[in-house]
Amino acid sequence: MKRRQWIQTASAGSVLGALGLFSGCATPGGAGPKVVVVGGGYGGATAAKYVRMWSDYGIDVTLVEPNAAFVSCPISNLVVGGSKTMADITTPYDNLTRRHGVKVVQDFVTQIDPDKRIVTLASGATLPYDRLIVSPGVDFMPGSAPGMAKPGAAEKVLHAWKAGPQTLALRQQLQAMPDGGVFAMNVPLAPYRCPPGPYERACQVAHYFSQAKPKSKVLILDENEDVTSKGPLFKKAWADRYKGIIEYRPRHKVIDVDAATNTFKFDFNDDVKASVVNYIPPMRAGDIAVKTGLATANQRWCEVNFLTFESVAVKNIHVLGDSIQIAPAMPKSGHMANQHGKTCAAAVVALLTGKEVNPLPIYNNTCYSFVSNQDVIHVASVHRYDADKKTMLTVPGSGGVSAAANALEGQYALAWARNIWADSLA
Amino acid sequence: MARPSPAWPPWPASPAAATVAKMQAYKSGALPATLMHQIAKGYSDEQIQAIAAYFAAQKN
Repeated sequence: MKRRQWIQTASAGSVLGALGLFSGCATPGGAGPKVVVVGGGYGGATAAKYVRMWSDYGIDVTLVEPNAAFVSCPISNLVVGGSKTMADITTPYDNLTRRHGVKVVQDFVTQIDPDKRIVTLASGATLPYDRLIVSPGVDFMPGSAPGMAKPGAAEKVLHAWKAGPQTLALRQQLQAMPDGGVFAMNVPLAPYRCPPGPYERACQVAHYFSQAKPKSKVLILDENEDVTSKGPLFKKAWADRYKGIIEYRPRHKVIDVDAATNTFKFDFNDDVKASVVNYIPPMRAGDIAVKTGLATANQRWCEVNFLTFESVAVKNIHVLGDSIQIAPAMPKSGHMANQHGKTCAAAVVALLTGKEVNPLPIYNNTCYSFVSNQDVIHVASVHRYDADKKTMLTVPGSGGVSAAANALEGQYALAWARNIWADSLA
Repeated sequence: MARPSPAWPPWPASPAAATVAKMQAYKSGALPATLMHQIAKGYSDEQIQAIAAYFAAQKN
């Protein structure tokens, strides 16, 4: 069936009728295989769409996502910096339903029963599955900064590391800050979601200060030994563009945050008090993955078979995106989660239809970072399955970074965003 | 579908040979690029053929 016919048929309101056109596929009674996807981010939304497409719309797919719309982490630092709006980074889920017949349920998964193969939702509803795709992103390590548990602390000291209401709230804190103030942000020890993201955020806030509050400062307090991604390019941007605005301090491990006084506390270094404090806690796999026993690496990240993304611990459950124990040199990024989604979708379709799983997956990653409101730097890599080591390895000779920040890649970065939103969600 | 961007146009449903030629030109460095030369170097000739065949089969 051509896509246009599919759209017309689906928009005529007969999604189930259209399914009947495929012999041997899911019937209105639901006799076909069932896939449930937990989480509608870059990994889960992509997997949901591609399981439908690559099964010729024969596999029944239900996507469970608590948010009403997709809000992108990539580009969200530009909302913090003021050059983009929340509307610019928000995409509805309805095209997954209208164009691809994905059943999108706005709810929250509270429990997974791997033996009965049933997912339970906060509403009390249950969903049976043949294969489950778990893509819940990251949650924060409990107890990392005890002071953040005090009443009101989490509303005052923001992470803004899951794009959404906190993105806008952090923007508003910066707008309310008087000129001459200090914005202090930490960087947790790697691995964490989006390796270059904190340094891009520092650039965006510094760009805003340089335009609107030139006496203000940005302080980066990094638990790592050095900048974890695109280091020379970021440091050049800080020296050339934001001299006297951005200060970078490595080897600063946050052990607590006092929200009442906007103070970071470290294991060895002196306290840092600031006008606006942005605390990005250490991360682990999404809570539902940990709770289900999928986080086999230090109770933190989920080990998977990289041919199928099936959990090494629990059969018939696949894990994608930021929740997985990454392969060497594999970033936790939206682009990478999108690639996980397609690789997993192809494997799930193969497993449910008795076909061979691709024995040599290959995919790539591109991370663009804005160092101003228009100039961008990238890091790119290609990752190929290594049958001996049973993991994904970067292909020798491939990949690299920008020669220098440039405006052409600023256009490409925004085009990348529009295209990956379309690929994952439309 | 998001509006196609002039900067990153959607890959056209072009004859496979055109895609292969372009990817090979990125791979060899003959075609200047910001990052496609870095990406193309990660793919074997057979994988580039497979990419081209996939895109050629898409109906836009």
